[in-house]
Amino acid sequence: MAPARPLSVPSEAPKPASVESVIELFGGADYVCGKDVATAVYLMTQLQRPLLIEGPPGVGKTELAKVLADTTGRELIRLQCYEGLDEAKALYEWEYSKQLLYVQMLKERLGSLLANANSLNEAMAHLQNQESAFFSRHFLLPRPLLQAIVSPRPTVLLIDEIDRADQEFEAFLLEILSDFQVSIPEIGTLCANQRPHVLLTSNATRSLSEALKRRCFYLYIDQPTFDVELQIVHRKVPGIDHHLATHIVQFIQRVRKLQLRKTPSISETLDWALALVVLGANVLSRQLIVNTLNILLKDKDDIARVLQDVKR
Amino acid sequence: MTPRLLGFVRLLRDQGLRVSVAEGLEALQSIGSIGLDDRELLRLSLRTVLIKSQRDFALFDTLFQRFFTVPRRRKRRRSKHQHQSGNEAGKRPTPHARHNGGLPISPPSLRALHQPKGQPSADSLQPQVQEKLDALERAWQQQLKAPLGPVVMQPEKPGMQALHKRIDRPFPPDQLEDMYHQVERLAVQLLTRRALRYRRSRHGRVDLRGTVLRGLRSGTETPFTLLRKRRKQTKLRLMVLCDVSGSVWQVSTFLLKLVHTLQAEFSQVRSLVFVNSIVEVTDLFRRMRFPQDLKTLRHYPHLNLFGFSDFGRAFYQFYRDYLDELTRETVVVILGDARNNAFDAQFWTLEEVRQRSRRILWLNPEPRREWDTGDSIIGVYAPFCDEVLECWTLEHLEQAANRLLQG
Repeated sequence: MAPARPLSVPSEAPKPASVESVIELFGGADYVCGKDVATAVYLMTQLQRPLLIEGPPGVGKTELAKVLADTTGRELIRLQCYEGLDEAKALYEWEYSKQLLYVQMLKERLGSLLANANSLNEAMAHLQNQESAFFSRHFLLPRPLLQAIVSPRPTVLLIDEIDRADQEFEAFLLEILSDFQVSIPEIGTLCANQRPHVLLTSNATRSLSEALKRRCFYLYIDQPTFDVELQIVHRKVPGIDHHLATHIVQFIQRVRKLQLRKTPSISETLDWALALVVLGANVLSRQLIVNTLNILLKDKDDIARVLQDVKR
Repeated sequence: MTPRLLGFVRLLRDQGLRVSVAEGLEALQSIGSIGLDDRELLRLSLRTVLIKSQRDFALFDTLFQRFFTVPRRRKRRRSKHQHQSGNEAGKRPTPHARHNGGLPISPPSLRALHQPKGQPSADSLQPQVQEKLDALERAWQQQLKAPLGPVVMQPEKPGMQALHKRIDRPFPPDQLEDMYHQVERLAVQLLTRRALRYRRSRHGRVDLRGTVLRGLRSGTETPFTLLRKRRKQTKLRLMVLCDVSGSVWQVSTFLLKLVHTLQAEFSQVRSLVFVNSIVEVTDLFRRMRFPQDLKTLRHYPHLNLFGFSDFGRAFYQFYRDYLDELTRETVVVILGDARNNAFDAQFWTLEEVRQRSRRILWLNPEPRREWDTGDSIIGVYAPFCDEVLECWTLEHLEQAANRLLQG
């Protein structure tokens, strides 16, 4: 009996060996992550499935993709979604101007090529023989999705803020995500040499289609807990005083409990902490909070709300 | 493990979570790669693979806890058992689990892992242990059948679940303003989307004549820029007919707000509200500030907000006074729960309206399962409408607005 063929060709890029090693790897890249994040990442690399990451803005969804690319030695290819994103911008486009330019430059060659044709039909036949020259990969402008597929190096494909794209685009993505091949009518089907790790992020401004969710693993990243956030601050703002860091994180955790329009996320915490370090602060005084709150909160009402809370 | 996992998947499905066959298979694969040594890891990976929405996490965790836990026996029964089988029963009725270093799964599932179903297991296990395992299995089955306590749902994240929030009930004043903001944001989103469509519609068929002309004009024979034909988009007229009686008041105001923010997209928007007779409020809504000015509506002449809804009469008035205003470009939107308080339905008026207009769209602010219950007669009116949609979350409202913009 012939040995069963493996389902997928083993990729050259290293894969994390266990959930712990994911935590370790990411820790090495200054990305503090919990077990849930590590499990999801581990499973998606093992089972080669796309991972859909949801969560409030600024909790490090995009950062996760960058760190994954860094730690596994893959190239990061990013597709930022927006309303009206279409195939031409996401997959590929023919470089019309370049094609025309070549035609112009090769005009004489074409003339001589067609010179010995006796009839119009014959000339057409000659030209048709050359057709592939004009629809070759030279004139193809690969956009992120195609880049991820044809890249000789293993890649991490980040499809950022998928909830911003239209639903039609989502449907189109399904096709790509399921078998990682693209058929271009003029060239043929292009397959991925290396199956990319695909990460999709969403801020859940609209609900995604069931079909898309079914094909992905799911990870929800929430605002970090006190311990995790403190760790992150220490990692990302080197040289910060331990007391100051603790006070900052305590304050932020309390602010998050207030009913605000936009709760400050971890990226805003880091901005704030960095600002306080630059200002040379050692303690988090009330006056300091009042003066620098606009770094943390970007909404007039929110600031008023927090100030009120601070005064108490 | 397979049958056990399938059992778990079935339990999830029974509780209303959508799990496909493919996802079940993936769960099995994931167990293959993470193993069974760590209960927490098992929970996290099953959740990653099977659950696709943060809202369902709490329910999943409860079910996981219940399914993959060794049942604790009641004291009374345990002592009886102890008496029967001597010291061996011990304190914890899980000799097998303890033997394996506290496995994360219940002994029955462990057994299934080691032995395919149907194979005799008595050879390898002592009869006593076997008996105990059977008892455990029964207790475990019972544990599964016990009614679920109230599952603590995840607190709603602002913005995250707003789309699914029910909007058919009164809001406290402080949240209300926020809701109107949300509605407005929704409308703006729809507008940008539409603007983009319009821009994109230039990416239609190549306009050959235009392209060649442009090429000639630039002096070269080669047409370097492609021109596309523009698709024409017609603007519709909108006639909104809203029930504003107590039960649907909230959704009606949201709809009116939405429609009036979208005003520029239609060549005309007219709003009529009714409880038992219709009143035109087009002008009022055009310059209304939400939600402060809503109060003025309460004292609007001829509008008896505290009366009983009478759809039949309102439709008849509409037919009598507004039929001539309808054109082939007019979309009639009716919002109401069709709870007619046993008045005459006068559905023939709707047929007339439909003949004269482009489309009739009915939005019902009640969940579908409540339709045609009690005095709701949506089923009587539905055949005369082109579409009847539920409309009790912002998402529904968005869908409805989308439908409207499509014409």
